[in-house]
Amino acid sequence: MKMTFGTVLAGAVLIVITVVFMTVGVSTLTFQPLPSNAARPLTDQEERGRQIYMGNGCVYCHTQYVRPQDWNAAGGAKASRVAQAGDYVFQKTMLLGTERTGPDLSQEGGIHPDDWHRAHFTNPRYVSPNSIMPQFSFIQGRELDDLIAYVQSLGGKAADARVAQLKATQDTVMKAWNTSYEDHLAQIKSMVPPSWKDLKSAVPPTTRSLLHGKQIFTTNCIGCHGQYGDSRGPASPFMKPDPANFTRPELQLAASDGQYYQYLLFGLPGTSMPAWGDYLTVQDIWDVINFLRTIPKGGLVVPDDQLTPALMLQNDPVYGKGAPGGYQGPEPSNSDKILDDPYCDEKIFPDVSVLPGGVRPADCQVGTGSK
Amino acid sequence: MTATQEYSTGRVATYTEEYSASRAWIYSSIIWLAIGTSFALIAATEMVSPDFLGGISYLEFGRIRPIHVNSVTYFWLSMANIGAFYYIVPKLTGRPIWSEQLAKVSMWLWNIVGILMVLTLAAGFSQAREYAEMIWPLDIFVMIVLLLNALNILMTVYKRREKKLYVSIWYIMGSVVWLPMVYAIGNVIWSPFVGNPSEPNQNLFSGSLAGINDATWNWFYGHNILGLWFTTGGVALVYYLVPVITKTPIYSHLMSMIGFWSISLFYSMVGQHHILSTPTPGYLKLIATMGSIGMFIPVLTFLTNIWMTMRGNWGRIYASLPLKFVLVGTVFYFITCVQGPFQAVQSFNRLIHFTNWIVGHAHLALLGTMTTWAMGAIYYIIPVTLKRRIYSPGLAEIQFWMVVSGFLLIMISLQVVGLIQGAEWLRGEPVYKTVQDLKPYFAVRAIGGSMVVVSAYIQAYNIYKTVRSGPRIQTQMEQSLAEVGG
Ligand code: HEC
Ligand code: HEC
Ligand code: HEM
Repeated sequence: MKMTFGTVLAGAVLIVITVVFMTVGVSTLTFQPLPSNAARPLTDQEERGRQIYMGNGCVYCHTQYVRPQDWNAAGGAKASRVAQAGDYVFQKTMLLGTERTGPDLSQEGGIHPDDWHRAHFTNPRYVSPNSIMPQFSFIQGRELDDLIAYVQSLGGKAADARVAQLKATQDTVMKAWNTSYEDHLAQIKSMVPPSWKDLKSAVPPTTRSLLHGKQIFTTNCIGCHGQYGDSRGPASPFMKPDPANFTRPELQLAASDGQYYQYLLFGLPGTSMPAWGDYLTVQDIWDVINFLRTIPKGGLVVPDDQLTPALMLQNDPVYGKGAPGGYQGPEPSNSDKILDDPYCDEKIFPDVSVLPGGVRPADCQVGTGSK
Repeated sequence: MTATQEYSTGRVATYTEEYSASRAWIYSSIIWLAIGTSFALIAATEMVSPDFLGGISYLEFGRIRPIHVNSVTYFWLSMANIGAFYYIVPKLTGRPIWSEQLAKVSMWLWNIVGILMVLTLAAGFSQAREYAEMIWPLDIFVMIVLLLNALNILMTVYKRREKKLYVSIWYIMGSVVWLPMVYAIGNVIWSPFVGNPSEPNQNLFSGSLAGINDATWNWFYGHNILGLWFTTGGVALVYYLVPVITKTPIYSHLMSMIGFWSISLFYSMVGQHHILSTPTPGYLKLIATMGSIGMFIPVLTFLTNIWMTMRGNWGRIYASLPLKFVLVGTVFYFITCVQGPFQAVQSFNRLIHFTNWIVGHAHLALLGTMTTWAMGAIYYIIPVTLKRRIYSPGLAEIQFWMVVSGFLLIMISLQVVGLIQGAEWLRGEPVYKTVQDLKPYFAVRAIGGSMVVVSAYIQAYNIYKTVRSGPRIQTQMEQSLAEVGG
């Protein structure tokens, strides 16, 4: 084949034009999906918010489509939905995204209340201490309202339903909140199923559990509940009701372990307290609840080596075994305790002949398995 | 230059500002590399320490990132390639560029587009289409420059003295006509408004369609800008530099031809492999996957052709810096094009889609491959056309090792963490948890990135010094040495 000027030019153009027509062209002409049951056009305000979303490059970190295998990529259990072609018919410029540095936002509407978003956009670290999302503190006033309106619209009619439910719960919660704190506590308690109300912690408060609980608390909760658990986190000024204050023993005593478990697993609808069920395991949740109980006695300020079961189990007038409403779950088992010296333990090393020198260390207390 | 200096090809016309357009494009591309990578370093630092520069709207990650991507793609790589075209085309056609003046005017226009791009994106005006962030009025501006360039190069080729068209010329002709086509089609440039412009919530100046088909158009563009512009442009440089430097004819004409026609066929059909799991028509995905696997043909013919040309010449890479850049680039090209088809297969795509693996792959292609090719071309063209030796070969050597090792840190860290992210998501871990795994790898990326930034500045300094005070090439002997990249 002779590669002349004409052949190269015409060949290059014709091949590409033909392929484009057959792929992009034909598919656009033939593939015109109908609106899905969730699709709806955006309002003017939401459209303005969408422009802010485009201008600030949210699309480089957030996707807006869920694949069948992504059951935990978006907004959590109540909002997972595999993307359908019809979901996008009213959108101009696709914001599908190609990178998922942050969660998928296609179903974000109604997952969090506006308060949460306000705190989050001001500085994402306020509510999610490990986040790497940039601060959007420069988006303020009407622009922030527009952006939040857009985020709350994500998910279309399904999101509208979630938002409506959220608003309704918020009204009930705020009504009780504005009356008195006792009413508020009673109101949120009414969300807890009766069988959970008297549930005791299923995980014994071993040192390991408390240390793990502390880690969970500091990596997830301090933005709202505060460094010292005193509800003075940087996000708390954005929120009504205020985040709970864990330093007050009487408030903690008012709620059983089962109640806390429910609040953590499903969040507190109508407040900014998120649902942690998608992020934390059952064990994580019990561990953090065990830890919360040590906060009035300095759980967040005592050195880690003093964060032991003694802080909540023994002889404690408030949380101790004897106290009304105090800890009544299972005793920590021996194997959960951190042993001073495993060589002292007859259960672990029944046969002394395997130990170095063939004897137990001299300072073992006979029969206790420790020094 | 005077007539006595016509020794290079014996045909090149005599005029005073020989190859000045080529150099003008190259100089400004070098500055854009320094700018683009500096923005990258800001973005990379923000990913490690998100409150660094926090709250400054025009330095926010989501605005810096497209500035970085557009600077390095359109304004570093494209300018360097076009600069090289303005050298290669006259060489291969035996006549000066059709209009040197027009080439320089387009260079200035292109720089104006670049500055407007930085300003608009920093101010928060963006189409939010990846690689096509420039807003619609800028798109028009871009199109004008692209067409002027295409005209200039096509006219040069059309009015050539050397009748036979060498393979680099095919690729260059293809690239300069494909780019405006792809740009206009992919940006949906005929549709600045969607629906009725008098409607209140209009997406003004977005250049987009409504509905999911818009994503298909976007990725048709997103892929072909890589496949029918950066790749073909880069391949043209390699096809020119390797035979010239080694003074060896290209191994196989047939292979060059198979490569050229198959790249234009296969590359234009693969756009959909970027959005394989979207709810778009299945046949598009099928075509994309098949085309992606078909890409092995142009890639392997090209690489075999180049590597076979190198037979018996491998020792030259110690003596010739441009050759070293170019051949290391071909190795990375090979890795890119092995990864690519695998990524286009659904089962592997499930694992790596949405993760940082993709960003690693993007850098493998554009930084590892195309950037080293362009750097090689620059280190070849500047001494030959300026008749000055490189100011400091030692610095150039440092630049080589900095860019290669910095790039490797970027790619390896991102692809490793990409696999971790992908595996965790398939297991059902929420995204907020995997975010916490990213940080150490992002720190490595920032370190690798700063090495690339340093090499960009070294290049700028070294070329600047060469232009000002590089040792002059005086003898015929030295000139011949420069022409084999020595
Ligand atoms: C650097 C990448 C990045 C950018 C840019 C970014 N985000 Fe995020 N985003 C994240 C990460 C990571 C998270 C998860 C941690 C958290 O909650 O902050 C997140 C979380 C979110 C959430 C909460 C999701 C949930 O339900 O937990 C919303 C809403 C959100 N981002 C919206 C936005 C908007 C709107 C923009 C643009 C104005 C944006 N993001 C820009 C990374 C980013
Ligand atoms: C976005 C802010 C935010 C974060 C993050 C957050 N909380 Fe909350 N939390 C709240 C708010 C607001 C309340 C509501 C307090 C109320 O209704 O009185 C609350 C209430 C609670 C309650 C109920 C307290 C009571 O006595 O009624 C518990 C328990 C709790 N949070 C635990 C946690 C734990 C553990 C974490 C971390 C895993 C966490 N929270 C993270 C905002 C937050
Ligand atoms: C000249 C060489 C370079 C080229 C051609 C290049 C090209 C690209 C491309 C195409 C992308 C988009 C990837 C995608 O679509 O997913 C990108 C993103 C990015 N690049 Fe580069 N790049 C270069 C150098 C650098 C350097 C030196 C750094 C670091 C200092 C860097 C850091 C980044 C960052 C942080 C992103 C954003 C990634 C993310 O969103 O997570 N790049 N680059």
